[in-house]
Amino acid sequence: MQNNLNNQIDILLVEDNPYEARLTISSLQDQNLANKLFHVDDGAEALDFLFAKGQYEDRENESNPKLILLDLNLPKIGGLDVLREIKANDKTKSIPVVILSSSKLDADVVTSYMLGVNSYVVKPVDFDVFSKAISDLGSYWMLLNESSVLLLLAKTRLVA
Amino acid sequence: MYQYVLGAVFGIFMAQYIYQMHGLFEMHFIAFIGSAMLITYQKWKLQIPLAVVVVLHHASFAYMQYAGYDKVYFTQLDFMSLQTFIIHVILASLIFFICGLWAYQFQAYSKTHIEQSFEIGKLQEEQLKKEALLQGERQFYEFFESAPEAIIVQDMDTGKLVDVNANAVKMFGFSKDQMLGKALFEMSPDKQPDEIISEEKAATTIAKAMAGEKAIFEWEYRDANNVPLITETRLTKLSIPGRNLLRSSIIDISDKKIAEAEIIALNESLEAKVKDRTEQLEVVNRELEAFCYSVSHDLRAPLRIINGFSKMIMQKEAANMNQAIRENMDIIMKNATHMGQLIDDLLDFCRLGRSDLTVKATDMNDMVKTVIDEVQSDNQVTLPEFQLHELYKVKCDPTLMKQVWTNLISNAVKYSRKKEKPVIEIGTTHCNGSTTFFVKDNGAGFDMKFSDKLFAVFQRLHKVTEYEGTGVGLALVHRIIAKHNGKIWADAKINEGATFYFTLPNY
Repeated sequence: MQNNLNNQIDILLVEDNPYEARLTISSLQDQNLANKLFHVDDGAEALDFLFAKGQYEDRENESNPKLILLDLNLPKIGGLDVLREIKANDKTKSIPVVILSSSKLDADVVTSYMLGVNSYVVKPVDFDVFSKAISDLGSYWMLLNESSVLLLLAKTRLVA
Repeated sequence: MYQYVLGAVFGIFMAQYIYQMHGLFEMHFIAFIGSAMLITYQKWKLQIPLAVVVVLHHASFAYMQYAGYDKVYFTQLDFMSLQTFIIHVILASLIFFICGLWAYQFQAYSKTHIEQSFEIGKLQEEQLKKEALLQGERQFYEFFESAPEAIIVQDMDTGKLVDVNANAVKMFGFSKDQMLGKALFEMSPDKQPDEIISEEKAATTIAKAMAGEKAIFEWEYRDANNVPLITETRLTKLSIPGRNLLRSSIIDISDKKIAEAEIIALNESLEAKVKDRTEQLEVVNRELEAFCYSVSHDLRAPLRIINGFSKMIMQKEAANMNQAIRENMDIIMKNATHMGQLIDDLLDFCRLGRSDLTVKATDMNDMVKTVIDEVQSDNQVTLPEFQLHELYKVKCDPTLMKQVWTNLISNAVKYSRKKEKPVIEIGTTHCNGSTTFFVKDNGAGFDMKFSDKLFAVFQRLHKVTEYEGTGVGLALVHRIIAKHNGKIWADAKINEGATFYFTLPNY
């Protein structure tokens, strides 16, 4: 599901496995959260998208996504490195990042939190559990949680 | 005294004899036998009593004749004139004098002789002493020369060597003459192996030795060919009055040092080898970790997809499917879920191999109660009756030990749930320095014939349709107990229940 690049993107999904991506998107659709979702296949593309480089040079990157769903095992640039880049950059570090991983390895979990991940979810094999986890995540981060991006926008408007 | 009496008796005897012989001239010579015999006493004074008797005898006879006493007679002479008397006395005295002189000389000679003998004895004794002294000196020199260490004597007033033994000559390769007159540090490098300047180090140790303290130290010399000579040197101040001598006993420990260095090198190479092996092991471990990671990630993803898409089909297309298709779809999903469980268990099993034990004193009673609560809340089936005995406190890794109890207790619950009155007993016994725990149920049990398969990974003694499971649980328990250096075994009978025992060493 490719949205128009210049539309407002709410969720950035970084997932190399197209079927996994489809399952995730399908779960989010149930919550009507998939409309403003953008899917990229690898870490490099994710960073290009976020910082409007390479093939995304023309993207108006005024607004960041409200949520990044990040897989760990990615081609080119790994999930942990993508996370490091996001959290190291002032422009992107306020975006909530949720890691969706098959890996339960302690080291991955610890490193992710050290790098400032906002949530770490181990994808369950059982689809019901998986589906519920994804939709819960979507509704928490998109609907319940006060986004700093929105706050920031509101503030700039007030100043203006 | 009796010698003098004897002299007088001889005199009287001779006087009497001569008188009886009527004063025959020849008889007078016989009369001096007594005088001669007295010589043997070696005392000239013994002649005096004889002489007195002779004088008195002649004088009294002459007087009696002169007085006209007619019974006195002489054969040869009618009358003893004064002249005859004087001649008699002089002759007799002469003889007595000769005998006295003789006796005197005799005595004098024997005295000299004794003195000489004594003198000779003394001289001989002195000679013996002298020889003994020389012998001792020779022995000491022998000791000095043949000592196994090199010995060097240094005069501290001049700083030069004054004596060296054969081994010193051999060790250093200089001739004895070359060595005498050298100073000890002239045969040493500028710096010792510990980087201290030789002269300074020598000064401090020499001062120590001269103060009478123990001074043994390692010292490097240079021999005649400038080859390093590693030694153990012992300095001793020699107590010879008036001289300031220092003895150095030197043992060549170059060989020992080489051997030491070899041992150190060997140890280092051994350490390097161990390090190498450890690194290899670490590489293997990392590979295993990577393997586990890929198992975790890559195997689970397809399963999730199979499961997810099946679910999606079921949700959206259920109405268009008949009963058989729905059942088949269900089987697909169940098996995908089961395989997910297998992978998760296998991962736990792999992870256990890498983790280290964190051992601490643990109250097994609390742990078992928590585990029972958790197991019961997971199983909505008939709750078994738990018979808990007091459990001993042990030292173990609490996280891993909880896994052991969880697996054993949930197994007991699982296999006894088909009984009408399931009973699970948990207790402990102490024996031979270790603590044995047991979990006993009255459930399905198993055939002891297959007990060797009990703790192997993916090995099961029951059909999945009867009792669900992956066959990893007991393998995991076995691995945890083995990691604790403990033992695990089981006892069971079909349909009568099973008892699992495990021991933990008392740390």
